[in-house]
Amino acid sequence: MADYDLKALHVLLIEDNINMRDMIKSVLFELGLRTITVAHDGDSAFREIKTTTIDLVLCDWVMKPINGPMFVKRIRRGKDSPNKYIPIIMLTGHTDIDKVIEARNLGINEFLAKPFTANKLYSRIKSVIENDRQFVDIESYFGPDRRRDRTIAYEGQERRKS
Amino acid sequence: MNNRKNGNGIFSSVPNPIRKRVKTTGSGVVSADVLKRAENVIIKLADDYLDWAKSDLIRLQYTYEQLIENVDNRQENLDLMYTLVHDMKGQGGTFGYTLMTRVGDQLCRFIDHLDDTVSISLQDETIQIHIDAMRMVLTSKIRGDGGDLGKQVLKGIEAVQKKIRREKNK
Repeated sequence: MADYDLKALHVLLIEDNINMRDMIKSVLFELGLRTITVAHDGDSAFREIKTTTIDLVLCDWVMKPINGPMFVKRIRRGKDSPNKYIPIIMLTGHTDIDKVIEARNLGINEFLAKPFTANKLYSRIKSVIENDRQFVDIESYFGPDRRRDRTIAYEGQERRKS
Repeated sequence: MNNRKNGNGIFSSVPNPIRKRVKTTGSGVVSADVLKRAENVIIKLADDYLDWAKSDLIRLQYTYEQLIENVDNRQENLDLMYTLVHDMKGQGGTFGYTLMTRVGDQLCRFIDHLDDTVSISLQDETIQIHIDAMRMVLTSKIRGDGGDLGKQVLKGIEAVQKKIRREKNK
């Protein structure tokens, strides 16, 4: 994996806890980012995306009144979504596998489980930069292809084709 | 953008929007030193964390008292407690207080899976025991897993969880 100069990226950080928000903002600043917009919940974040060109969203899970999952659903599937392809990294204290699956099924690009470290955040950002994932639109899902690497050929039986 | 129909789905090849916005050369590229400085931001905030967590704990205890006093708003207060504890648990591990994360995680799970097979009095007792354990972590500044003191804290929680299992199996 290469390393990157992230200065030109405009990040939207959605986090309701002021202490975590300030900390993440400071870490992003140290990583070279200079344009960081903050929102306190999913609703104000949605308004922000409607009026500003955002490159990447970092979104907390537990917030009120509009939490992370509700925000992601509105961005990915909402009729009024200003950018349904925008890259989203979900930050969360949830570590249960069912929450990871839930997040993946919402259409996020990457999942960052707390404890939060600068290294983890940078590696998730790098992953978004480097992974060209197709967007899948089916009745029950809209978002990046949940299979990580479609260039690896599957050699087993294609049961879904039969 | 290229679209390909496959069965009931449409696969779209979307240009990666941020790749062309980043550079791989120049002085601004994230180096090992930059990453170390970014990690240091978190380490330097560890002392402040205790103050944040103490204020969160005061709010948590207040919400707990509201939970007991206002029977009609029970769910609302439980939701508020969940939000507070969820934040505390995420922050704990980030700043080296992993025992706080463990206790917070157990309280979040308890609130998440509450049902009426557990009496209100046992629910309240369980919540208070977790809050007391969180207070102990903060007042004794228990970092990491807390060693013997940490084991003692978890023992109190285990005892109340046993009580819950017994009540659920009645």
